[in-house]
Amino acid sequence: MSDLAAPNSIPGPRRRKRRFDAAHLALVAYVVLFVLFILAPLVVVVGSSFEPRELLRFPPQGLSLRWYYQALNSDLFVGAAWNSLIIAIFATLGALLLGVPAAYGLARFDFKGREAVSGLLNSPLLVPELVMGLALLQILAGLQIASSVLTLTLGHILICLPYVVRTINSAIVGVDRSVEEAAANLGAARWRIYLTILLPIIRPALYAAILFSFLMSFDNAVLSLFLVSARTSTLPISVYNYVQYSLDPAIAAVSTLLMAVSVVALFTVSRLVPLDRIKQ
Amino acid sequence: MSLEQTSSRTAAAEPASVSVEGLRIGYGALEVVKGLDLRVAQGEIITLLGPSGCGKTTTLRAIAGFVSPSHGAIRLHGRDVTDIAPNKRNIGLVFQGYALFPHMSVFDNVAYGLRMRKVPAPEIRERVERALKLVKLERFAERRPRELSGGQQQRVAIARAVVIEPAVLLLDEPLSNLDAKLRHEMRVELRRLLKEMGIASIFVTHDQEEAIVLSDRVVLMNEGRIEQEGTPQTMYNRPGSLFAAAFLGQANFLRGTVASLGADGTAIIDIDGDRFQAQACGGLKAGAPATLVVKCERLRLDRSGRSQAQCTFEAANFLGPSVQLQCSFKGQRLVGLLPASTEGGAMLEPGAPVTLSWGEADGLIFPRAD
Repeated sequence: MSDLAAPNSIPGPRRRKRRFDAAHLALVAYVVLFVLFILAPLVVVVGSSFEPRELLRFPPQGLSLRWYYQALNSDLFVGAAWNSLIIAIFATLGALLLGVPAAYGLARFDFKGREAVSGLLNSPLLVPELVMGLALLQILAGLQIASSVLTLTLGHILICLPYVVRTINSAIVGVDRSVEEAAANLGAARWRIYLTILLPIIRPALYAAILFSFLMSFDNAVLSLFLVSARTSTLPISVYNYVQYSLDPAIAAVSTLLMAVSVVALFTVSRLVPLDRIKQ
Repeated sequence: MSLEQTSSRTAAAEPASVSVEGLRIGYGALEVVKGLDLRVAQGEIITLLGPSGCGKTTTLRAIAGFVSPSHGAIRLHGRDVTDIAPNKRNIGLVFQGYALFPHMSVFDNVAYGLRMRKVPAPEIRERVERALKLVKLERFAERRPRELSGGQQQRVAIARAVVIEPAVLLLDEPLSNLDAKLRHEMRVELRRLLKEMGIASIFVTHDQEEAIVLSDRVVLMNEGRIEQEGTPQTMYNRPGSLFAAAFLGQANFLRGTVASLGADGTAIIDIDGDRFQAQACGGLKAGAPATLVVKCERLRLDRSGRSQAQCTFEAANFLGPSVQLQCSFKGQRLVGLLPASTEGGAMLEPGAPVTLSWGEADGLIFPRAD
């Protein structure tokens, strides 16, 4: 490693360059294939949404916004989209209200059964949504409660909760305990410490938790399948129902809009905080 | 320094800024602090010194209110605060890792305590600026903590703690995260700063040198109790126990038995046939095992002292300003710390005979348990 030895250990410039080129080509090919693998389904969906005729196909036979117009004027899709939005917002709020204090407790206090509580809060990740959906359906039926936006929201809080708890918990673990003690020492009451010290410090994680939570709810289909009714549906479920009877490009247009919402949400959060600072 | 220390000793007659009475703290079955009494006068700087696990940090955290004592009382200017929440105690605390608020500017960090006290904004600005000036950081007010060096962060932590004009300032190993050179500068600087502000201060450290330089009074702790307390000079020159002798400074410990006791507070120790007269410390009994303690820097490489030991030279290590001389005496190790200018040490061959001597007042004889 010494300066003197270095010139001898470097191979001749020509040989080194050729080897670098072969490796470089392989790397480029790998990355291109990787990106294609991820993008291909999206490209197909977005592409076929511009199809002017009645049949879903890729590549499209022309470029038209006909199906976007149709989708945005369809009571079925628009009503479901509003439901999805309202449910996603309230499910996220609910998951934050329950999850942030829980994450704090898990991060800061050592109590009996701490591991069990942690496992319980993460269990919606482990239990198949199908099973959870069925269970919730049975409970609602048993209590004779009709499916509504409220029941959907409650169900979605369950699946959002683990994302909030995990994200916030690891952020709080990363905050030095003595910072909170310093604030107390300077005269801050507990609620002041949360508002002026802890929450501002973990702000990037809060944004991340909101993003994950919102998207988990907004895109959810499996759990929702059990909780929707003829009158209240969500956007993914409407798309699902629609494809069962017709395969026109409206479905691609709606899917493209659904993706657009995710992209906008992701973009907004990444503007608020660099994505690489989001810890999970 | 000695003048300053004399004046602060007389201040002990004034009402104490902090007093701790019969403090006991336990974690479950384990008692960490086992009955501790402490008084800190206005403007006095004291150090809680001791090995890790001796209860010094726990005591500090109890005064700050983060740990509840099982027994005893903590008073600030006579007011009992034992059961008062940390945020209602008016105590300044400088954390080991500084614990600055990373999302706030230096100004907002320092202003935090004043804002919690609902001090009017113009007064906050004035007081924060004064505090930052005191720690020479007035030009860094808008910076974030992570944009500052370790030494600067530490000064922000001090400014933040003193700006609220606390009854007492607690400092938990505040210098341990700095590099050696800065640490040596900061301990002198910190003492000057604390004296200038006149706030009663309690330092926690395991570094005896830091304790000696920084404080008016050193409180040596061992296993949850006070082992000895006194001025740095007393603690260094007149340790009250073998533990204290081992903890402050570098010393030699020669094992022997008490040969006889003198009437003038001296005793004679027998080490394998050689006899040395030295100061008697603690309850010595003729014939009982005892240890002779001599500080390394008190040893001389000549016959000028009355106590002389015929040793075998082993090695000499050059330390810069001084030379460390390793010898063996009757199978026990004797280490001398001599000025580097001392002649003769470097020329010795390992195994050569050498005479080390020390003054009668430099030796202390303690009873030994075994």
